[in-house]
Amino acid sequence: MNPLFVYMLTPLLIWAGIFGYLFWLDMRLRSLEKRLDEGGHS
Amino acid sequence: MSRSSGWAREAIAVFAKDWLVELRTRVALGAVVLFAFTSVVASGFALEPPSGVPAEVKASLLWVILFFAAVAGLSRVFVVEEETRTADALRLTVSPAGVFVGKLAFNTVLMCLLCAVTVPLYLLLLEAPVRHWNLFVVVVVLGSMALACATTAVGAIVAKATTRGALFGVLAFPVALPPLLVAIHATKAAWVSENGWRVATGDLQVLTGFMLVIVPASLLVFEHIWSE
Amino acid sequence: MSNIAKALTGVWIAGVIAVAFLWLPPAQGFRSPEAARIVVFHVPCAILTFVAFLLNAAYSWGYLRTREPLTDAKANIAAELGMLFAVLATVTGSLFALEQWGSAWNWDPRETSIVMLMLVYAAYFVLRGAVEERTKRARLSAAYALLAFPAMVFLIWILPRIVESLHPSNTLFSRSGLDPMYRLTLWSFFAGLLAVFVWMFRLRLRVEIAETRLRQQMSREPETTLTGAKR
Repeated sequence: MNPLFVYMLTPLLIWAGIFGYLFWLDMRLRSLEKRLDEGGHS
Repeated sequence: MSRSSGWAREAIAVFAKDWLVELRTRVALGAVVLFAFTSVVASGFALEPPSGVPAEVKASLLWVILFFAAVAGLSRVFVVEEETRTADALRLTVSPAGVFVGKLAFNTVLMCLLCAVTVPLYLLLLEAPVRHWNLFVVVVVLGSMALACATTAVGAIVAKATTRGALFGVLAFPVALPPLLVAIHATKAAWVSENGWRVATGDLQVLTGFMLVIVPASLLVFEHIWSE
Repeated sequence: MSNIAKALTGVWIAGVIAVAFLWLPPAQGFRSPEAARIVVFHVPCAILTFVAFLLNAAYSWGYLRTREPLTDAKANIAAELGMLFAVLATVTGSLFALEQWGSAWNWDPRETSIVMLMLVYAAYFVLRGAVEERTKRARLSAAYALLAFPAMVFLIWILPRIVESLHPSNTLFSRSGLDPMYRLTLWSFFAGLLAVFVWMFRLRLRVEIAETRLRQQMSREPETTLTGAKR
């Protein structure tokens, strides 16, 4: 296999990790905001 | 009387009052000079014999000592106002610009006194090979003035913080770094270079320029630091 | 940011990474031409560091003008992200320096100035930690950021005049400096990274807003929020 291809995998994996984490954080935050909205109205 | 001379008069009053307090207690002066004295003697012990140490190292060490001695005392003018609870009285009677300029003048004079004591001692104990005496004196005066200009407003910030501790040194270093680096470079030029003046002209311009930028910037933000 | 924009950012950066390794030719004239690809990732991080620093100063100024708590939060977030990208730029730069100049740290002016920038950020965070009261903390840290700003400008401007730099100067915008393929990939990566920056900034701001709302609810009705927190 092309060694460059192997080296390419590391940054791609790191980026996938960062992206997944940010996405997960976004979802968590959205649910928190929703709960806050409900708590504010009741 | 016009407004500009108003704050100038206030600044002179603040300056005179601070020196009166300082001469009575001698806290800032004592801290600064003793700190510098101790460090100079300690480096004299450490670098024995001094003739074997390169002049570049000695030039850098001089400014490191001056910077940390300044850190030991330059925040004092503002901290003392908060500690003795006189800051509110000052806030009511004097405009922020007057306070800042007065304190800045105090710190500048303090730095010059510090240099007048420390630098000759340092030159004596560490056998510094000064080539261009008048250039060296100009560099020391301008450099210590620039250090005072850079750190006075930081001292005002530190005086307002709840936990002061080592805060002043941490906050002052990044702001004081440009004049520090330039002063070290110019001091090396004054000590070892053949044509010291030519090498150091740019440095002296940068030091002056730095003061011309940082003092208005400090004045601009000081109002927000000082008023509650 | 909508979910489509997020997905696009993800694909875009993955694509640029693939392009940087598969399409970009090794850069001739470097000690190891293959390793020069890291420049494509290193330079955008460094640019974003300075963008964040400018943002921090701008928001600090804005806070002193308006006294809006949210503006102070933005200034803080800009500093946090600036610190993050400063670390990334330093690490990628160090790796390349080890490969190209034989040592990970050379006290090159750019290296020195980014360390000083990190010191400014560190001092800023220490100051924020040292003041309890919110409005006072906001005021003092904004004032400090505005004091550190001219000092940093001076440092970036004078240091290269005093010490010689290993970094090339004027490569980013001049026509002759950088290979067009490299320039294209570099700015593409910058665009992707900028999108990530904006995303992170807004996420962090939402956290800040949620925290404020939680605090307000806690002070208003302590019992209900306590049970809410347990859930």
